[in-house]
Amino acid sequence: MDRSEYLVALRQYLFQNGMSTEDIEEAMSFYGDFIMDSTPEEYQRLGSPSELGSKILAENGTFTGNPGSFQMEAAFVGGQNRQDQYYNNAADDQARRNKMLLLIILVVTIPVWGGVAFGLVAAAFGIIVGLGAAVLGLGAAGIALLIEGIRDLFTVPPVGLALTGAGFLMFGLCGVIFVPLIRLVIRFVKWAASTVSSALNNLLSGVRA
Amino acid sequence: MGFPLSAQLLDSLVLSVVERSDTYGYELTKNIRDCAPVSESTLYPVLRRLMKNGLLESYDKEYMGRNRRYYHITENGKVALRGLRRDWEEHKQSVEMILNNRGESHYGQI
Repeated sequence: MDRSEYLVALRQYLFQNGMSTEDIEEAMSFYGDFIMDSTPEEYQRLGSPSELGSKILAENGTFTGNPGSFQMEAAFVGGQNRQDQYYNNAADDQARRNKMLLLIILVVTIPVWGGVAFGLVAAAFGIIVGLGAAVLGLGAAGIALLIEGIRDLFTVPPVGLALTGAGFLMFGLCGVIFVPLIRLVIRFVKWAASTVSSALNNLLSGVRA
Repeated sequence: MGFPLSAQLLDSLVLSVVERSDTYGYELTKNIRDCAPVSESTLYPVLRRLMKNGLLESYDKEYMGRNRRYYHITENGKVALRGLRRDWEEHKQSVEMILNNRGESHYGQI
């Protein structure tokens, strides 16, 4: 059997066993090339056209009644899952396109949400500064009362005692509120920063990948 | 080579050969055979999968009155190959560590 007879027989075998024309063309372009390029000993190693054909069909996922030929395929499918991390398969491409689209939408609509976002950040900043000022004010008032009270202790002792007490109370309250407030603010800022940066990272890396 | 090739290693070899220069099925098979006894019917599904995943692309070029199909590595293919090479390096080191008692083990040198 010469090369062209071999190829005709192979094509016929694939066709008779229900392989799609598209798959046949692809397989034939590979094996046809190989057979045309190889020496007679080399292409005879492929086996008869029907032997090679049933291997091709098995790898193509078409069952020819030879269960042994499926084991190779199973090994490849198993190996394939582990490699998925490298391969931009269709699903990844879709996800990337979606992220790209989202990024474009976000950039284009900056005039719409930019003002709102800026307003929210400014409002949060205002509340934090306001609270901080109020608490510090409480502390300052406490110190003032303390000083006044200590001075009054020598002139009008009862009033001095009351003022000193009030001063301690206010100064203490300031400390009790201020420290946790600062901690809370730091935690909030950290959280907000990491949330924003991870969202950005996710979006950008998705587009770049 | 006495050790069986995993699908991942086979992919790495095919990508490396094609990265050197565009090549066709016969030449590719000969190159891979230098290190592993693979058959043509093993390489065809590998090529198909690599093309399906966009790591390789093919084009036809006239050769002695017929079209011969050449394979070319894509940018995605180069990226994947870099990842595979990194993995191979790690794999090689961890095998060497035990096999040849080289490198640092968690338990120090035995």
